Amino acid sequence: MKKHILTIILASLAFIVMFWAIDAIGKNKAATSDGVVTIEVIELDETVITSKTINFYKGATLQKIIEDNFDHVVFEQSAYGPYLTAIENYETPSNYETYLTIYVDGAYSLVGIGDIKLEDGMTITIKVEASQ
Amino acid sequence: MKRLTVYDLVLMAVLTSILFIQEQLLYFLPNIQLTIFLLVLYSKKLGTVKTICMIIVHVILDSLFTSSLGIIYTPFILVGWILIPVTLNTIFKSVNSNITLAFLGGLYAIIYSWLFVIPFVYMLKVDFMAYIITDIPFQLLLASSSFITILLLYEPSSRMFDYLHKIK
Repeated sequence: MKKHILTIILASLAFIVMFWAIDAIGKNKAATSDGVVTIEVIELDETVITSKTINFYKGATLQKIIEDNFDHVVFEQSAYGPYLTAIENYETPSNYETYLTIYVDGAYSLVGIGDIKLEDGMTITIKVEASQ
Repeated sequence: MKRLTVYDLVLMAVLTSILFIQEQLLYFLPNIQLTIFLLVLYSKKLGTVKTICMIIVHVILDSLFTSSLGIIYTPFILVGWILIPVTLNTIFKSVNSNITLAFLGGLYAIIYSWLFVIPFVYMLKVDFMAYIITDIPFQLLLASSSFITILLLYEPSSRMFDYLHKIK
């Protein structure tokens, strides 16, 4: 009986920690204030396919902003989060001869698109690059 | 080690499949998985060598599936998981209570997460503090989900293992 009560208490505490962590991870990815972001899509030959300056609000995520403001957007899910495979007139070929990379303010993003937190004035460049 | 029977090989193949499939089924939930619970169960029921064999197959399959096979991540994943059967069958050999094993599961989750400091900080040059702060919720999620699953599932699964072993 004593062991059952202890199990219930410990499980309840662990559930609280788990829900706090899920909430914290969700907040980490969402914008904490309103702002403006510039998103550009660049072809392999450096041609700018499209460039948009978009207003976003607190709680917005980059994935949602892209889905709402660009055409033919396709995100696929992987163990490491969502990744972009198609946008506007570009679609990643099945042999991954070319693919989409993300740059944040001109620097190659070390995290996936689902982990980039929107900040006022940032520039997101979605660039088509070729496999080596 | 005793000679492996056909039963052992089939059992190991099925259990490795379960290990692999559950990770893929739960991939959309960040760091919520049954991996540590299953590895604790396998370690206690099948011993060190068999569990290590299953871990190697699982890690290679998983790394191929997620395109992460390589020197940066794979050795640390292997070390993190192999630590479980090795310690549970040596220094924690006498531990069989689900509550103690649940705490150990939480500890394994933290150790596994901290092992990735090495590739991120030393190889990929990510700032140590920034990495740790960002990783804390993920560590807590892995630790708490491992804790809960071991606490609630270890005893019934252990009994089922013993029953299957008896009717073999």
